[in-house]
Amino acid sequence: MNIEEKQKEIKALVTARLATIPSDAILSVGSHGEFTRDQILTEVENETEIGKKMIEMHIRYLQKLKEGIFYANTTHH
Amino acid sequence: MLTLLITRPLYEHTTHYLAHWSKKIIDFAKAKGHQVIDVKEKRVNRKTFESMLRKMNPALVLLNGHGEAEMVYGQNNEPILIAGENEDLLADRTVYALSCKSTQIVGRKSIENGAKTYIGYKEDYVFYWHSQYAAKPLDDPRARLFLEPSNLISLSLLKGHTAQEACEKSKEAILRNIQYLTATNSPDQFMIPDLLWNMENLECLGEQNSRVTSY
Repeated sequence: MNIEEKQKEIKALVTARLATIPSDAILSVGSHGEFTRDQILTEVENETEIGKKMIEMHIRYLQKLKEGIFYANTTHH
Repeated sequence: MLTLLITRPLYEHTTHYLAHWSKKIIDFAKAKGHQVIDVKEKRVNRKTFESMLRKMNPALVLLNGHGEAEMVYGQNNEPILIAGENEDLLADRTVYALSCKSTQIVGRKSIENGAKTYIGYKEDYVFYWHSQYAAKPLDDPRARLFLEPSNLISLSLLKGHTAQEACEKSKEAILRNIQYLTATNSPDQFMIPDLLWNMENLECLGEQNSRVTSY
């Protein structure tokens, strides 16, 4: 898999995860404003600054998930 | 008794949430007998901010509001703390900025210019809120998972913990919230990447072992 294909796969994965956000949830992203699920999905689709941030956020999460810290005791890693 | 200055701009949903949640800190500080300078809404402008720092000499400064690398904003996005212009007014003080990206530049400049400690975020601070709770932000179960750990920084400082301890307590609280969402298989698990984001971007600059003391 080349880099482009991998990025496409990551984007699809993040999009699938974001699609589970309920419609009554609003995300405040500092001075960038407030975003509903559909607005977040649009940002990701258009690969805007916010969209890229969302992807980065989810990649970090998946990395941490792999490390298993969310299931450990409450000691911070 | 110590003196703390808190800024609470209020002009849209994000600042509405921050202003209400930071009221808990004010209540705690007053109950402990501390002097609170509550600069809110249209009074959160540069002139008043600078004047209060000079006149009241607060040991602890709590900033709520939007921000970016070089500045922190007040009411209606008026810059109140600007790198290279007025960060020297934070000399000898402990600062917590619930604001985006401010540790990148203005936080570091504040330390260079004598601030004891500057706690803040190196990236955007994000939080989810529930559209049905917009009128009652303190009852919002989603916002609570973000803003309680944030409040813990100020409360820990007021309880006499060091700056580093305050940050660690906040990070531990975020992690506990993440583990709670996971363990209960909560429908709100979608917020975990955002909680993690704030946890990883929280920074404590300056004297890690400093405590807030009255002058």
